[in-house]
Amino acid sequence: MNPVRVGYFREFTDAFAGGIAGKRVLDIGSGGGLLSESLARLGAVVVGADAAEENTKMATAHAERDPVLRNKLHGSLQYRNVTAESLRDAGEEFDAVCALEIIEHVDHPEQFLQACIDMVPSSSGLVFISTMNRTALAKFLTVTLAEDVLGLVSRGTHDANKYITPKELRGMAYRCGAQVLDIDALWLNPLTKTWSRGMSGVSEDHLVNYIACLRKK
Amino acid sequence: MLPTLAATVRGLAARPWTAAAAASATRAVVTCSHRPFSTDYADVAILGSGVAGAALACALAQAPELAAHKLALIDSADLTRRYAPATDDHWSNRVVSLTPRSVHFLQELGVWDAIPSARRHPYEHMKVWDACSNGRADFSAETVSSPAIAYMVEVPYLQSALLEVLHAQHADRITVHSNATVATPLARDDSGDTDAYPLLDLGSEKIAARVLVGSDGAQSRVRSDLVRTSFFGRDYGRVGLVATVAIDPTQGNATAWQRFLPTGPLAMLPLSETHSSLVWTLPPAMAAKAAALPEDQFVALVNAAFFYPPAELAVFLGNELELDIAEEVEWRDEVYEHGVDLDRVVLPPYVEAVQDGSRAAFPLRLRHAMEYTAHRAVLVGDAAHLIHPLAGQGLNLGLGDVECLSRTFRAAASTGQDLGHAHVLEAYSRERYPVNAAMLTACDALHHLFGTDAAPVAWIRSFGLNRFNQLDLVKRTVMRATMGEVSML
Repeated sequence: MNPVRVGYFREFTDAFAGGIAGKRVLDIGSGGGLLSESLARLGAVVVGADAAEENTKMATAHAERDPVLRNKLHGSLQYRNVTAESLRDAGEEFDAVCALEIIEHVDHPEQFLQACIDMVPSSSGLVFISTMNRTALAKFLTVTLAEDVLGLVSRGTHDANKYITPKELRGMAYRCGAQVLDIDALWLNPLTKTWSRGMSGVSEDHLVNYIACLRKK
Repeated sequence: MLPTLAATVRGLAARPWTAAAAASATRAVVTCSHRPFSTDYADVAILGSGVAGAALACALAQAPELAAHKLALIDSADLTRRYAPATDDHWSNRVVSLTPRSVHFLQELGVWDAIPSARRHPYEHMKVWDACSNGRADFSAETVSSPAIAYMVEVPYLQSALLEVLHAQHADRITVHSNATVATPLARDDSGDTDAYPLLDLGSEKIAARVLVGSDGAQSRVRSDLVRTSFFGRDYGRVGLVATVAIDPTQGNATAWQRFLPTGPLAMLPLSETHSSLVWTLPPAMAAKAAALPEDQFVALVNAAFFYPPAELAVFLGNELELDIAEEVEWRDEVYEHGVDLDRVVLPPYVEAVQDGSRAAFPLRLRHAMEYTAHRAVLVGDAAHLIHPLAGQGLNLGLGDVECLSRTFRAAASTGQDLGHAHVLEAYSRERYPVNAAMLTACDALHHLFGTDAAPVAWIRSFGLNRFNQLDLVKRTVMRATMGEVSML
């Protein structure tokens, strides 16, 4: 999924924020650092934040084994064991925030979204969200199939009750002072195990995985 | 963490790997946990500078997405040498029939125009016929709205053009290690410093590669040592006898000719108005005999081989009788002249002479690597597949591999991916493996279909070939497939 997400990020930062090079980007929920590494390679100044310390340690160790990324560590690529709210409370500022595959895991999604939006500048700051839609189909594919039947994802990773519908995301964005520039579908081809994006005539309400670009008003 | 300026300077002043790394030299922030990298480093290292490796080097060096990536090309040969033939009329016996798709790719690399126009020869027609029956098929480029079916180019010229473009336009973008012998067996870095990067030991220096491309040919070390996959297939029990011949210039030379003999096909491919290249698939003993014949005998033999019944050719090439082939042919020609309907006979231009020293033979084999990729290693060209020359596809498949790998790397770089990541390499393999497999299988099948003189088979294939010749739509589709425009799947 990473190439598609990064491609989406690139497209919208090129169009609305003057490109990616030199931009300060927060990757919230950075996990193993997959997204952070990609953004750093493209020239962003990246802070990867994760609430779990073993994740930031793992991400740092992974970057240290890359001859190019190791030179960026602690400079244009840093991992910090913090939450979005604490970063916002500490007055951290970023040109863009990526909260990809994370909002469905937090307990208070709207507060989380507000924290993300607070950290970007008005009228140019972008917040990227990707998550799953709360539909029966999404639950079937991402929990029943992916976790229980095929074992592609470890059990308990996702709680389908915490999935967020595009409509809800739009409502939250409005209340948090941001406009939704775009919502796009993410599709997995089960045969090639590659991801692609594009609405393909499907309505927003019927999406499974989706990604969105928000801009602070 | 205290800033350690010395470590920064030492690590970065040696080689600014990326623009960003150079930029961060202005920041005095680095930690003591960095161990200095003990070897030189490349994002993409290309081992083998044949046509495939050099073309990949050009493609990557000119890609804007890869501007910050470190590229290296390594070969044991002297890559500064350029090909210069003995005279304007001298033609290398290593030639290739480049499909329009291959030519288009070479144009994109700026390499096509670096080949002298006199050394690029298009042919618009192709005639294929069966010696054991009256089966034949004629192909014409205009039926697929193309200016040519293919273009004949001598491989040394193509090679030189690629190296020239690399040198003239991309010297700042790629490090070329010429006359470099790599210690074998190849291995990966096991120090823990990297994610097991392939390590090339050039003696004076070592290069760790984010991804190592094996363009090192049929005896590929990248395949045997790193990808470690079986290179399965068969030996055809045949050799390809090549020769450069001077032909009768009065008939024009824009047609490729191929006659299927039971021992293997005989092809004449036009190089210029006056010269052509021969590729004759023969059992090794017959090829050895033909290659050793005095010039006048060889010339007579070739002319006969495009016309005579296979049984007579077997006599010429066999060992039972010592014949003066030139005399035999002269006698037979007089006889045939009376009984032959010239309208129904397919004949290429008469061969008048064979270029000195141009006769050579190489064994023909079918091979396909079971896997194209392994951890941070990927195969292209002959390292991945070997094919029967009867459809002129080998080098074209290699260029197809290179075009795909280049496109795959560029797409991956544009989304900040690690180029050596399995997903990136698998995307290349997923696209090329079926295409190559289909072409290898098709050529193998044709070899077997035409490799017998058994009457029933000859009748069926003759019927099939003639019907095929009449089915314009099918013929056009097959033409497009061999020209690289559609997949054979």
